[in-house]
Amino acid sequence: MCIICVNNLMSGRDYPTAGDSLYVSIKAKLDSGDKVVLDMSDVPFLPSMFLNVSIGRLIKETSADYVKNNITFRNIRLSDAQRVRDYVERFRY
Amino acid sequence: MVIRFDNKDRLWWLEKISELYYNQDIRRGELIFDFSGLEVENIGPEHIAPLACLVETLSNHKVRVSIKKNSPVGDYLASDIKLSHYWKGHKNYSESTSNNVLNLWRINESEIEVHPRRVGDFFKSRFKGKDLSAVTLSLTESYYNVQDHSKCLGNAFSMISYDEESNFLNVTVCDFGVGIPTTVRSVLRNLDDCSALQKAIEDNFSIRSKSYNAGKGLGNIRSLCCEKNSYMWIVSKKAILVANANQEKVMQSSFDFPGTWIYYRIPLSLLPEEDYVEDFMW
Repeated sequence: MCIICVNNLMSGRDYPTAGDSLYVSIKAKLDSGDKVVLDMSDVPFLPSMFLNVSIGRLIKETSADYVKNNITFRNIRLSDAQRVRDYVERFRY
Repeated sequence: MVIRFDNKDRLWWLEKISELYYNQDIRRGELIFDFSGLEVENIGPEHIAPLACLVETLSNHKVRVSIKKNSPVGDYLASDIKLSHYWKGHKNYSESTSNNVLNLWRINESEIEVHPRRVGDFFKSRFKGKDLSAVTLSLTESYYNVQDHSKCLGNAFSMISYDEESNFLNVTVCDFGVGIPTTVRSVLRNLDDCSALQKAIEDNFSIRSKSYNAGKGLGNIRSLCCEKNSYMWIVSKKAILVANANQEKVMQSSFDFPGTWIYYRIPLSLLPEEDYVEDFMW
């Protein structure tokens, strides 16, 4: 299991660029057989332009079930947890 | 030439601004805006943001705009909102003297993520322990929509106020760009303005102009207005959309708004407490 600190990736980057960095980080870990835990400490919120190029892109390339089976979160705000669940359930491409 | 604003009704205000926008005769010389018939409590972000867009247009055409003084609203716009700072002073943001107003902000790319954080910080001290992420999220989505789709050439403003009595937040984002219907028609050609606006707020609809667009932006804003007494209005070109907790209604407007005006009102009393999940379960 590999932990990625999302706020570290967000610092100093706009949301689309940070989302792209997150995608690259997650992909590298998943491709090497690791499952991923996204640590959401200090993350301000999760806008669509961040999710679309990270989690959304992964769903497009794999599936919602694959994302759910291989990625989880910790220290996530309750409202963001619900947002992520809704996002993955409703994602269509 | 004196232009009178003497009606607080939002649609009257937007129609008036639209008429002035399309009136080529006023694009010369000097204009004086007269707000004598109004009281300060009659106007809010939903009036001031589109007014700012109009002033920006006139200013770009070298029209000198001034506000008639010695009226409550005239003095409020001059002293509290500090309108002159945005044109004479060339500022994108100037702090209001009012505790309940997050003043006009000229939407610009370099501050597009800074301003929502500024808003969050502004309200954090007032609502300690409350989860404000939905508010800052909705602003970020709105501002990115303006940046990505409006083609407004910098003519876009946002303003936020907090109504202490009712505990509501009033947010307006306005641009003088191509309008949502025009943008939607770039991918779905035969839609009229109302159908196009209706399409735009459908979940997952996106013109995909950028890699990070996937049709979640307006939906995120819409989802905020699902609580009792909250609502969202959008006026864009000849279409008006009104959405609240129970329904959405789209209707044809009697005027052609030269861009997009989004106004939403959300109850802060229903903001959740800031709570965290240590171990997330799907």
